[in-house]
Formats: sequence, C-alpha cells, structure tokens
Amino acid sequence: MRARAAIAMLLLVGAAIVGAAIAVPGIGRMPAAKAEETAEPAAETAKPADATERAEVPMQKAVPGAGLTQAAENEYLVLYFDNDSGGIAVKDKATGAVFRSNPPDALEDPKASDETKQELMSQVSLVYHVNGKEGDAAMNSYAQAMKAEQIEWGKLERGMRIRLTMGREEQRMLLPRQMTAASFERDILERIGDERRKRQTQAFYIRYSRDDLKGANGKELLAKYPILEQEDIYVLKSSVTDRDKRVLESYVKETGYTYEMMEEEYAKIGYEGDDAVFPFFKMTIDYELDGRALAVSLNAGEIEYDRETFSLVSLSLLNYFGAGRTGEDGYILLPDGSGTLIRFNNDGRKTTLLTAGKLYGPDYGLAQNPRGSIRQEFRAPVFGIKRGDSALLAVIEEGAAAAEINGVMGDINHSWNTAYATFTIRNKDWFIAENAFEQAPWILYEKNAFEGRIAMRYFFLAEEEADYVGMAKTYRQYLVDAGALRPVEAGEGTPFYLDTIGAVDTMVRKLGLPVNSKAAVTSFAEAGRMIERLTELGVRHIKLRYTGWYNGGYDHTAPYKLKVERSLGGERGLRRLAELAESVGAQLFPDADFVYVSENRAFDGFSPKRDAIRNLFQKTAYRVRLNPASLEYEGYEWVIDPGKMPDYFRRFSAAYDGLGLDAISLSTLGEGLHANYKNNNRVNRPQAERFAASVLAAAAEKYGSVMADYGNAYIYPYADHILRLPDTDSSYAIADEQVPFLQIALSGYVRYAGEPLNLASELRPAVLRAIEYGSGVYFKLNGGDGSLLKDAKLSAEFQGSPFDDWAETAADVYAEIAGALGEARGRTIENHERLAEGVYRTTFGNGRAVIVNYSDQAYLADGIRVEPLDYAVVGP
Amino acid sequence: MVPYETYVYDYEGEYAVSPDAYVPDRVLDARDMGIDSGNLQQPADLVAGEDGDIYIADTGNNRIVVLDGRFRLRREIARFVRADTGETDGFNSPAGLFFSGEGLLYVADSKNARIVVLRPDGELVRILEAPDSDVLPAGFVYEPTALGVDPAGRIYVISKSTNMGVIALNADGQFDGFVGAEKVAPKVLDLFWRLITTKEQKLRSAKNVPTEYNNITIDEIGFAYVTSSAIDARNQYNALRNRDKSSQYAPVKRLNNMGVDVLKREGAFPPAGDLVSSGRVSRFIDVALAGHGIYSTLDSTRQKIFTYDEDGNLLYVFGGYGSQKGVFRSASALAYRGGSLLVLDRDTAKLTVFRRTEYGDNIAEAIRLRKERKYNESIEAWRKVLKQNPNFEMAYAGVAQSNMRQGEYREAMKHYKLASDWENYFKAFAEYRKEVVGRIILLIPFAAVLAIWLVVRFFRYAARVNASGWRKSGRRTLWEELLYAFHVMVHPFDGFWDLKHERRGSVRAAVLIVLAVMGADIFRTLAGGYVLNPTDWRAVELADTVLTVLVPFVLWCCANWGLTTLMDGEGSLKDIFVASAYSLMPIVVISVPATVFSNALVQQEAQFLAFFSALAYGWALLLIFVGVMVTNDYTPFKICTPPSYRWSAWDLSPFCRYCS
Repeated sequence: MRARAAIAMLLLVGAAIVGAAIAVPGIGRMPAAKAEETAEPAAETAKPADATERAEVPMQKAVPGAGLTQAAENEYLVLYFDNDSGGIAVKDKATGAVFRSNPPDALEDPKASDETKQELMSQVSLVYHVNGKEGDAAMNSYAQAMKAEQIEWGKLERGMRIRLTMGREEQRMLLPRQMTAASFERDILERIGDERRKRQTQAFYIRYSRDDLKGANGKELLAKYPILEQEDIYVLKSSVTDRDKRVLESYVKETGYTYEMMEEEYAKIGYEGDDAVFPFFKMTIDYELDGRALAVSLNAGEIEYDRETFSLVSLSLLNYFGAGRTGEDGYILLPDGSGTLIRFNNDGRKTTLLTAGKLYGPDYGLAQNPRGSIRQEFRAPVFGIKRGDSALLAVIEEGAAAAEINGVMGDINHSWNTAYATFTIRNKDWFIAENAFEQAPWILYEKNAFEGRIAMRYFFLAEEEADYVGMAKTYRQYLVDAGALRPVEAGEGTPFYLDTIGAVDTMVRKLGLPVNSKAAVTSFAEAGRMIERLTELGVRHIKLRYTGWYNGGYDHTAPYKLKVERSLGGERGLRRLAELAESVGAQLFPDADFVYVSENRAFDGFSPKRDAIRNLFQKTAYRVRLNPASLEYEGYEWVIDPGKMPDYFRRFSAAYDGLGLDAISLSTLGEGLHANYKNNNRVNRPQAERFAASVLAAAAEKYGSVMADYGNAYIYPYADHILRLPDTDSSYAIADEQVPFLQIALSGYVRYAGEPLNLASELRPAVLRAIEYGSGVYFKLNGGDGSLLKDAKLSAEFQGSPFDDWAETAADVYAEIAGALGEARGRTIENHERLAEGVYRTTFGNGRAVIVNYSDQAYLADGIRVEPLDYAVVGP
Repeated sequence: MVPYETYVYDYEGEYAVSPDAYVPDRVLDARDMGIDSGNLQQPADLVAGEDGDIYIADTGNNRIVVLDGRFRLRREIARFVRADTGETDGFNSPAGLFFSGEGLLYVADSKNARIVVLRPDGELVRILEAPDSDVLPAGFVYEPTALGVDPAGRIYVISKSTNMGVIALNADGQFDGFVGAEKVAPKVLDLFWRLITTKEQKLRSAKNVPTEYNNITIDEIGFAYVTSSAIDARNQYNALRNRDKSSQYAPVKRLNNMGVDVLKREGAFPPAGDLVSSGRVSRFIDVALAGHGIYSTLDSTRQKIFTYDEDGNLLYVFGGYGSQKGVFRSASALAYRGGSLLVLDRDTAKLTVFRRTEYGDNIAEAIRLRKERKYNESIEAWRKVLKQNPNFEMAYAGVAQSNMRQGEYREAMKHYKLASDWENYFKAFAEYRKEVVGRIILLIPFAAVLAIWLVVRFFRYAARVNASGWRKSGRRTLWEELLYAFHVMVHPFDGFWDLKHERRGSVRAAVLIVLAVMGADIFRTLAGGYVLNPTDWRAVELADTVLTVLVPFVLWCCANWGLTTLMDGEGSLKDIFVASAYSLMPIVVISVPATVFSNALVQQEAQFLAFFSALAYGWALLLIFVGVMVTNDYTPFKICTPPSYRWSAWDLSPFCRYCS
C-alpha cells in the first residue's frame, strides 16, 4: 500500500519535472484558435438606410453630349451640371476660371488606360466588400452610373442636387440558367443574328439529353433536372464569369427575351431561379454655392444599398476637381506636417503616384503599416491645388476623422495632378495567426460604420490669393468665420514655453535594499526657482508646462482620481508654485493625459480589459512607437476608451478644481484620435472626435487657458497654445517645398511653438525657424542633471536637458526671438515668400517683416544684408 | 524633417535615442548634378578624391561620373585611350572605385575582369588584366567588384562570389595570394566524416571555410577594412549578443598586411550592427573611414549607417528605408568628404549628402583629442556631448576618466555606473574603499572583535538552549525548535536522530526555515553588491524564487520519500521534510552575511563569494545526506547500494552504533 503510494508519488514528481520542462517555454503563448471564439460573423445586422426627409426637388436626367448646364449662380460663382461626366463645374466670375470635377478631355488622355479614363470621369469612387467573401471591389460613378444613365440632377435654391445610382439596381439578370432545348433554340439561338455570337452563346451552355440518363450518373442528373424525363435541356455552365454573363445578357436582351418569359420557363422546368445579388449604391450629393465657396455634402448613412449582402468600405468625392494637367505650372498642397507643396510632375522625375496621409495621425485600434522611417502626420483637414493663376482650397468640414488625404501625380498613369479626400466608412484590419495551419490573413471589417455626414467646402482663389499663403489665409478666415479662432488678447508678448518633467520611477537604496520609488526630476520648488531665474534673466510670458506631476508621475495611472505626487512637494508645493508663477507673471499649465495610461494598479479606476480600446480582433490595442533599431512597432501604453474620456475628465476635474488653477495642458488630446472596436462598446473615429471635443470644451470653459500638443484641427476652437506644432513636412522625395501652412492659418489667433529648441539637432536654424514662423520659444528643461533620466530608463524618447546648462542660452534665445517678433496680438502672418535658396521673408499683420537666411552665403537685397544663419527685421 | 531617429545601444543592449549626429542636407539626382544624359543606372560605388572631387561608378551606364565640391558635374569618364594600341576602350559594369595615396583612381571593371588605373582627369595609366589562371584554383571566375591599394602599392581585390578571402596582387598586378580567409578549427564530427568518406565524396562536399567578402577599403597605414554579408545569421547574431571579441563571425574586419584581423572590439558589443533579432541581422556592404580611427558601416538590411570609434564603441546609428529625403531604398555605398557623409542609393540613383551637426562635431572632437592624448580637453568635449545627450554611456565613461584622474572616486563610481562600465567601476570602487578603510582603520579591529564576540555569544546561547532542551519534556517553543537547527548544523548524527525521535524540531519550524532560505535568496537579489548583480534595477520575482528554491525542495522531499519507502526506509514524509528543511540552515547562516559582505567587494574578489556559496551548499548537502541516512535508518552505503547487501552493510556500519 505504502509502496504503491510511493511509486505514485515518484511518477508524479517525474511528471512534474517533465511537465515543467515542456511548460516553461510555452508560458504566455495563447493558442491561436482562442481568438477565433471572439470573432463573430462579419454580417452586419440589417439596417435600412434611414432616409431622412429631404425637400422634393424635380430631377432631370443627364443629356450626354450637352456639355455644361447652368444650375445656380451667385455674386461670385456659377455652378454647372456637366452632362458629359455627370459631374459639376464651377466658374469664378471674377476671373472666368472654370473648375471642373472631371478633366474635360479625360477620355482622350493618351497616358490613361480605359479604366483610368473612367476614374478620371467620375465624381464618386467607392470600394465595397461582399459580406463573407474575401477581397474588396471598386466602383466609380462614370462607369456604373453615368454610362448606365443613372445620374439625375435637380436645382436647389442655391445649388443643385445630384442623385446617382452606382451599379445595377435591377437585381435579376436576364440570362436564363436553365431552358428546355426547344425554347432555347426557338427564343434565343434563332434570334441571334450574328453567327459568331450564336456559337459563343451556345458554348456557354451544356446540353443534357435523355440519353445522358443512361450514363453512369444518370440518377444524379435526373434528381437535379427532373424535366429530363420529357425534354432535353440547356444549362448555363457554372464556370461562366460575371463578365461573360453580362455579355451574354446583352445578347439575350437583343433577342427581345423578357423576364416574364424567363419566369415561365423556370416554372416549367421547376427551377427556383438563381439568387445572385448585384451591388448598387444610391446616393444624393448636394452642391451649394455659399459666398465664394462651394459646399458639398453627402450623408453616408443615407446611402442606399443592400446592407445584408454588401459593406461599403470607403468612398471618395470629386477626386479630380480642379486637377492640373501635367505641363501646366502648379502644385498640390498637402497638410503633411506644417504643409508641403508637390509641383506638377512636369519633368517626369516623380515616380510616386500617390502620397496619402490619414488625418489626425494613426488610429492605434488598427494594426500599423510597417514603416522604415518616421514621418509627420496630417493634422489639418485641408488640401489645395494651384494651377496657373487660380487655385482651389478644400476644407473637410465634417467626417474629417474618417478621412485620408491623397495627392496624385500626373504623367504616371494619366496626365492629371490632383488632391482629394477619401472617407473610410468601415475600417478593416487583418492579421496572420502565428503557427496557424493556413498562412492566409484573417480579415475583419468594422461593424460600427461611419454613417454620418460628409461635408466639404471648396474655396476658389485667384491671382494674388492663388498660392499656399492665400490658401492658408482663406482657411484662417474660414476658421474665424466659423467661430473656431479667437484673436490673441492685447498685451500678450511672445510666450516662453518651459516644459518640465515631475517625477519618474527610479531605484533608491533604503537600508541597503533597493526600493522602486518616485524621484523628482524637477520638484515644484525647483520649478519655482527655474521660473525665478528665467525672470531674472529677462524672460517674460513664461508658460510652464508640468508633466508627470500626478498619479505616479511620468508613468501615470488613469486620471480617475487626482493625487499630486508627494515626491515633488505635494499639493501644497503645487499651490505655492502656482502663486509664485502668478507673482512673476508666469502661468502654470499642469499636464493631464486623457488619452493614454502608462501604469495600471488595482483600484485605480482603470482596467485594461474594460477601459482600454481593443482592436477588431477584440484584443487590447496599445499605443505604439516605431523602434528605431528594429524599425518595428512596439506597444507601450494603453489607450483609454474614448467613450469613457468625459467620465474620467469629470472625476479628474472635480479634484483639479480644488487646486484653484486657471490653466490646463491636455497635450495628448491634440495628438491622437483612436477608435474603440470592442464589441458592445464601439466608438468609431468620428464619434471619438466628438468625445475629445467635449472634453476640450469642458476644459476650456472651466480653466480658461488650454494648451495641447501637435494641434489636430479639432482642438483649434479650444486651445490657446499649441506646442510641437509641426514646423516641417515629412520631406518626401517627391515633395518640392515645405511651407508654414498651419502657422499662417493659426498666427494671431493661437499661439504655438515647434519642437523644443534645446532638443533640435542644430540650435541656430531652429531659432531662425521660430522667427520665420512667428513661433513662441519652447524649451524642455529639467532640474538636476540628466543622469536621473538615464537611471529611470526613459531613453526611448528625449526628455529634456538640465536647466542649469541651458538657462542663459534660453534667455538669450528668448530675447532674440521676442525682439524680432514684437507683440503677439495681431501678429498674423500676411505673407511668406522665398527670396533665394534658403532665404525667406515673412510679413506680419503688425507691419513687421523678417528675413531669415539659412544658407551659408550672405543675402543682400534692397540695402538689407542678412548674414548666413542670421535674420533681419524690416519695418517697425 | 529628419526622417529617422539616431540612437545608440546601452550596455544592456537597449536602444537609446540620441541627438542626430548627421542630418540630410541635400538629395541629388543626375539632373541636380548637371548631367543631361539621363539618370544614373544602378550606381554601385563612390569615393572622394583628395581634392574634394567625388567619383561615382555609374555602373549601369558604364562610366565614371566626377563631381566637383558643389556636386556639379566636372567630367564624365566613359572611354580612355590605350597607350599600347592607341585604341579607345571603355568600361563594362565598373563596380568598385579606390583613390590611392599617389592620387590615382583604381576602377574595378567587373565584367571586363580587369582593373583600370586612371589619372583623376581620366587619362589611362595602366590596365591590370586578370591574374594568370594557373595560379588560381580551378573553376575560379575573376570578376572584381571592389578594391583597395595600400601605401606599398599592393592591390587588394574582392572578386564576386569568391569564398577564399581577398585576392592580393602585387604592384605589377601579379597574383600574390589570398588573404583574410577565416581559419576554422575542424570539428570532431568533421574529422570523423573525413575518415569514412571517399575521396570523391570529399571533393563533392563544399569547403567548410567560406569567407566571402563584399567590400574593402584601405586606411592610411595600409590596413584593409573588409565587410562580409555571407555569415550565417544565427552565428553572427550570437557572436554579437555574447559580446564575442573574436573575428570568427564578424561582419567587419580590419586586416593587416598578413591578413590577420586586428579590429578592436572593446565596446559593449562588437561592431556588428543591430541587436534586434537573429532573423534579420545587419548586413554590412560598405565601410567608410572618417579619420581618427572612426569608421562607418552601411547595413543593407535596414539601410542604416553604424559609426564606431577605433576601439569598437558604437557612436551613433541612423538611417532607414522609405521614400523620404535621408532614408534609402537600396543604399549601395558611402564615403566621407570632410564633415559630410555621402550615401549612394542604387535604386533611386540618387546621392544623399549628410551634414554633421554640432553634436556630431563634439563627439568627433572628443575622440580626436583623446587620440592626441589631450585628455583634459577631451573631457570637456565629452561634457558638451553629455549636455546634449544624457543617455550616452560613452560620454559618462569619458567624464568618469577625469574623475579618476582627479581622485574623485565617488564621482567616478557614479559616472562609471551610468556608463555601465563595470570593470572601471570596480577600479574606482577599490580606490574609494581604500579611502574609506583608511579613514576607519582604527575601528576595524574593534568591530571585528565585537562581531566575533556577538557570534560566539549567540552560539553559546543556542548551545545552552539546545542542551536544556535535551531534558525538557512536553511541547517545545518555536524558538527552541528553531535554535535546534544550529545544533543539527554541527552535530548532524545525533541531531537528526533526536529531530525525528525526540521531536526536537517541528513542521512549523521547518516551514520557517524554508521560508528563510527563500528570504535569503530574495535578499541576495536585492541587497547583493554590484559584483553579484551589476544593475540598480532589481525586481523581486517571487516566481523565480519559488522555482529555484521551493519547487526543487518539495520535489526532493517527495522523491526522497518515494524512493526510501521502496527501499524500506523508515522516515515518513513529514520526517523527511523536517530533516531536509533543517539541513538548509547553513545556507541561511552563510548567505545572508555573504550578501552583505558582497557590497564591499570588487570584481577580482568575487571568488570569496563563490567560496562562501560553495561552503553553504556543500554543508547543506552533507547535512541532507546525513539527514536521509539517519531518518531512514540507513547506513552510509545503503544510500547508494542495492537492497540485497543491506544486512551486511548494516552490520559493518560503525555509524549505526553511534546513532542508536
């Protein structure tokens, strides 16, 4: 008995050892099949398009060959319907310039293939997906609507409405699948005149006769076609492609065969009929003239189509509106970083067809496309095309969060250079399961489709205005008119932004034992000394941004509650700092993060499972950064479910109110916009934008002054200060010039600065850039020496320099920039031009102009000499 | 913008971003260079001449393009006149260029299987045809793709798909032998195969010493930097990870005139590129020399440029792939010209000019001054570097060096720690320790006497308690049970006997002892000196401790009980557990003070710790052995003898009598 127990025990021990040996390397690996459970069939619940009532408008069909028909007119513009493409055209009355939605002679483009020609002639292109099947298919309005005579238009009070049906609304196909031999020969074959077509038609059918029943599989045949007992039949081969079917259908149509005859035939044979479904998309686009602009709108939720069978994936509007022909003088403007110009491909040196960017940066809910380099993101929903002495600026008014802006170069697969927006209706994501039997990607589509309104506004610029400066100023005026920008108050000078880090995690030895604890990189008291010292050195208008001051410092828990870091000096220290700041005229902007969470503890009000965003595969999604070594993405922070942001803000601000501060920094709210694809809790990107805006609005109302990073366009109405506003573009090989589009648009209204000057790879050019762009002075400085930051292993990103090393330099730089720029109020950028290679002049609204020289040669003009790497101020 | 992040690796192999040392200045295609006759085609190499001119091998167009200092076309060399025949001749896929010390341009005219030597103005000097085939191995195809010339005029040629190393030609172009082939010690298995295979089979099997170089450049003293991209990825990665200083799997080597690799690999990791994964190791395809021993290598895997100093310390890495200015599609060659770095892209046929930044200047300056033995100025330059990049370990090492010089050992320790330079850290620590010891030298004897007195007192006290426990009847206190472990430590035979039969110990005490062992293990991780654990980031992994202490212990108890039960042992599971736990006491008693002591040791003294740890474990093992014996009523031979002999063994045993 005992011996048996002993043997059992030994076996157990042996098993444990073997088990451990096997299990240890496998820990943490999830069986690939597990993910399968969470996936649901991609079928969308049937939802009829909720067609809101629109005023009835008398509609008329396009008349091919009739050219332009006037639809509306106002003081500045005339709107036409283009009968040849089904698109539109707009004439600027002042200059007579005509902007067409489709190039006039696109069909004769020698560079373009037939398919590309159809694209060129379309005003809408879309991509859809057949539910449950692999792959996407595309449609364009010229081939699928215009040529099928499915475009109609009607006049509105200030514009017109175009209704188009893309694809085939008739769901049946006039192509009999089975017919008795007699009627097939009588009704179809006999009536096809052309011998070749007759043979072709016959070849697509198989004839079964009674003799076949005697064969080996006669029984099966009989079960399939009971009519064989009496008559021979023709059956359409199952291998016939859709394209051939369409050809065949046209032959059948010509014979005068009708649906009724086909029904009758099917009844006779006892065939139920095929259940093929054709995609069709029916939509209404409104074009309205509004002053000097054309407003275009389309409601994605009102697009009628068979939602059970198809999913709309993406849609783009007016891809070639205002496109420039290769050979003409002109460029496209993309909001890449601060703005970039790509000249028309006139010398054939450009070989990249498409330059595209997703608005507002990456969506961490989706897998990131691999990149071998870092880029700027597209932060403003604008693009433009300049062509000769006229230009067009487009602003995406609604749906920007789902948009992607594309620039297309001509002379590659057609002759036209253009820029346009594509709207993603459903995101899709794919992944290849590790160790999966099949290495095919698994693709899922977003279920919470974007069903909102898409609205765009096109401005038509001429002559002096027709360049990037004019475009930026037009955008600025648009924002001002829309109430999104408020002018800088009087008395405000050039701000000095001081960015500093509070507490970081570090190992401190206590009684010889290392303890993970918080250490102050910059304590509140040190920050106070920094402000005092800078003031002493003559720096004014200090805006102190303080990061890492609450809930654990640099690695912070969710803003569910607010606990000021003790290691920095606690709440009292913070209050004292705020008082001190006020006494010297500085302003304190403590930074709060409502987008990302870097640390998770029990009972901190955040559970990654519940409160973090998930991807389409229902796995937790992370904020990722490009590892510069492996050039692969690595995840490092959770992303808060955007739907929960307002609640976090409410809780956080309840405590923040008690601190009595008059400003807040919401750096990450201006940087990232992410959807949540978690089942039962879905928030798509446009919805996420609304949540972000509501938090920003609440913060702006409560705390007066708001600061944010990068400046995604939805923060303009709320932010007074934008730091790290891109001041370069991505320097694409294809791009010709980087321009300060964002700076021109925001100048005089929002105060901004680029990247911290002390972290620039070269200080002098960065200072000149700040002067050229009318930026504030931005430094990222910390107390103590830099070794604490190294100790804290914060080496994946630059965290700032020691204050003592930089204080004097910073003060000198401030004096220089503030001196060059003067007062902040009314300091709009009125003009920006390139005088020579590396020499630029910026003219401000306050009458002042600066000339900066980045080159290594002195610049001399009009009696002004600008030394290399120097600047000159012209005017008061 | 700069489309990449510059970074270095720290001692642990983590990347740390750094300021940019080089930023893209201009990107030029043929038209920007003023070449009207169309784009460059697959340009393979470029060199900078002494006068600042740039020579590009426009391989696909069979010409050499010469640019002036402002990157404008100076001339094209497509044809040259042969002096012997007076005929004009041209290139066929010129793939490699070298500008020799005497100011001559050497061109590896690859498809013509020859080397063309020209004056900078394009005038032919001579043509070196392929070496005579009778001196080359059979089946050898001569296709020179890269070349270098040393000050003595010896020519080193890389021929495509040669795996015998670099071909050396003497100044007249005569074959001089192969240099730089890696010597591989034959493995035992290979020798075995060689014994049993036939001659034909031996011939068929490939030679096992493939050393395939892809590029070469020669420094001012005539040593050749060669790169190789044909090393097995796993071997190359392992050599890198294991900080292998040997040249066996090195993708870049510096060969002296004898063909021996003399490249220094004194950095944290050898110069072999990215420490990312074994799947995609860096593949070096070119080297450029920046002077003062600094060299850069071009990685074709991720299109990056790695720059090392003469000791093999990594200075900065930058680059990437994409369609932006400053990253590449397929970079093919790089060269320095003054402060700028030129990189040629084969795919886009463009030349990227990088400009050195202030940060790059400071590093170059610090290294130059160090090389010129101006240490104090060098330290100043390092401080400047540190001001810009507080993550740069090499700069901390530079500063620490000055601390050492000035006798600021504590500061030096701090900086060496930041530099993760542990070897030097312990040098500084030893000095510091000397200082401290010197200060408290008078106290040491007193402290030692006090410590010894305390220990003696404790053991006397334990002995007293244990002696009185002998007579005590009834339940003992936990304290008494624990103290009994000290008795077992020194009197194992009667100790274990009483442990079992007199119930001097208990399960609760045994559990506490096992916990104490685990505690000692954790304490060692947390409080051990840098000798044990050279980092400040010490996380307590409870799972680790459980795995290394608890699980083996429990397994041992179970296995022991199972075995001894089968072999008629008399111990119950409880007895075995208690005895085994009590046996572990020496580990606690020795390891805790040893851990404390480790904080006062330098690297060379780590043997002390090894000794203590061996002592602790040896003692514990001995106790376990005795414990098993006594608990199960075994003789010492029983444990290792089959059961049939046990009676005789039992009778012979002297221990048995002692035990009972």
